[in-house]
Amino acid sequence: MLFRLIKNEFYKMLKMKKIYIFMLIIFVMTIIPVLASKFSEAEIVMKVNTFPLENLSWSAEMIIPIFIVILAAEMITNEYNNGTFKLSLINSAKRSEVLISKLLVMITFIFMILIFTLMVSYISASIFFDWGVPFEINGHILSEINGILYTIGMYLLSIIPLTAFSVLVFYISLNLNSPGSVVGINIGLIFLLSLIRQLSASISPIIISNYFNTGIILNSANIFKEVIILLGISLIYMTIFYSLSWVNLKNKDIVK
Amino acid sequence: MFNEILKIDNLRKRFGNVEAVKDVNLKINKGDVFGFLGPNGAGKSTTIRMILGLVKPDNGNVVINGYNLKDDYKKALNKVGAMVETPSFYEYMTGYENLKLTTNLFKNVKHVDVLKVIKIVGLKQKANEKVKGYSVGMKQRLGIARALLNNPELIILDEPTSGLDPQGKKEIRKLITNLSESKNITFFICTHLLNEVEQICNRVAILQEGQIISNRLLTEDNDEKWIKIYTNQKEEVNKLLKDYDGVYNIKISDNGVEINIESNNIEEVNTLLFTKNLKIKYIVPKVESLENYYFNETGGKFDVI
Repeated sequence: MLFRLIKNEFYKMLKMKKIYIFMLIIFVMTIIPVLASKFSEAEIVMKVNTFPLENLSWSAEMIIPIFIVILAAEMITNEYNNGTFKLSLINSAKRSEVLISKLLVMITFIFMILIFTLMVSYISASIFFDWGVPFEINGHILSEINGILYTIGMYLLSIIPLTAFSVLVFYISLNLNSPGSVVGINIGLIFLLSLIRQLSASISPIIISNYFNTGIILNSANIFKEVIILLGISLIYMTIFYSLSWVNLKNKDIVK
Repeated sequence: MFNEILKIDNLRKRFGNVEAVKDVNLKINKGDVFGFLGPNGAGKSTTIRMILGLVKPDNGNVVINGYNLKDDYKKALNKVGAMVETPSFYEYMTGYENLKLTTNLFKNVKHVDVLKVIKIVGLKQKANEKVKGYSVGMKQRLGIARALLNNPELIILDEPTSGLDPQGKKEIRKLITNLSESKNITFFICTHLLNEVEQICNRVAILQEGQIISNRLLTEDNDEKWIKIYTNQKEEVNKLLKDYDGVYNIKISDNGVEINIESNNIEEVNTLLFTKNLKIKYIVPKVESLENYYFNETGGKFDVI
């Protein structure tokens, strides 16, 4: 049943215009700085080697979390309000299966959007700029291919904290009745978390959005330690909010 | 082989201070077209949602096809089709695509089955149009098509003719009757419309303020009869017959006791009353119109449309 539910979630997602609008936004937001850099009179130097990681910082910290919020509002709250959430349940799907299928599709969506961002970044930058100076990590200069591999690695790594954030958003979506409230409250949350990170250095390590931009890990003296912390904090968020979501959904009376 | 397709025992649900459903008991046999009648707010939809596992009962059991919903959720719902209140769809998809989503959930349901149910509900011409352009009637039909997809033995429909014009209502009623007769599907139809029940159902239960106040057969050629026992010993008769096999309903009235009984048990009951030395004045079959019956049962709290 789980596989069938995942198939349905994909089917619904690909039929939604929102997904294509998200991709268009990513494309435009990527291409604008590239074109601005190329054609402006200001001296902005962009290089193919570094541009995808620069692009990851704003897309993973701001754009993708907003997409996650909009998609969660659609997948959970809007479906509940429209009465379509119950359709799988009355066709013998278990609540746990429905929740997991939606989460897995959300993770796949994050993966797709990140890969799309990566591809658009590399392609657009390579059309207008040269590769520039190679990557340097802790004083070690990397080959171009290793630079690309590190970049891909950081993109893939950012799926984990973004997934943890998705679970948090799922929990909030399950508790609210209006998709508008879900979007409003969660976007407010994104800004609040960002503000807390800036105001308090002692609290920021436990704020999940602190780990969205995995590119900065490469500047750390101990990359391994940073990755372990990222995985640990993400796992804590996932465990807490998945458990809360499951309890909420298990006991929820589906009255719409 | 059991003949009961749905059995509800002591189902109870409270929302905050409101007791929406109070100890509801029901038995539906295979092949029945069962009318679940009650005014708006009586607790019909809550009961349906508990039958489908959407709302958790505070107490009680739902057994479908011999499977307890609590223990065998999947098996219990495997052969159930349902349309709960206004059917909901992904409006940005076509009618066909919406049905495809349900098909995907079942191993044995194929593309050809989708085409078949589309034809049955008369939506062949509109199946490839987006649902957002459908009329209420078309959505009701599509909802019934969806409920039919998994070759169900029991279909639960909540207000299936709601929002339809008279012609649409007639067509849906005809569709239900045809499906019941041709495919031997059991229907559980929740409605507040008396004439709807009268035209298509063979059994009806009335729900009022969360309680079943009556449950009886409607067909003339049925095996059950309502009889009135005229007696001054109402309590004694009630005590004697309330747990008697074959007596479905019992209620004390002004000058006696009314019972809903299997025809072949009438003689036995007669003998039983005699052997217990109860003083019976008459035993009279009770015949009344459905409308009168409901008004008597509900005390006139019904919206008859």
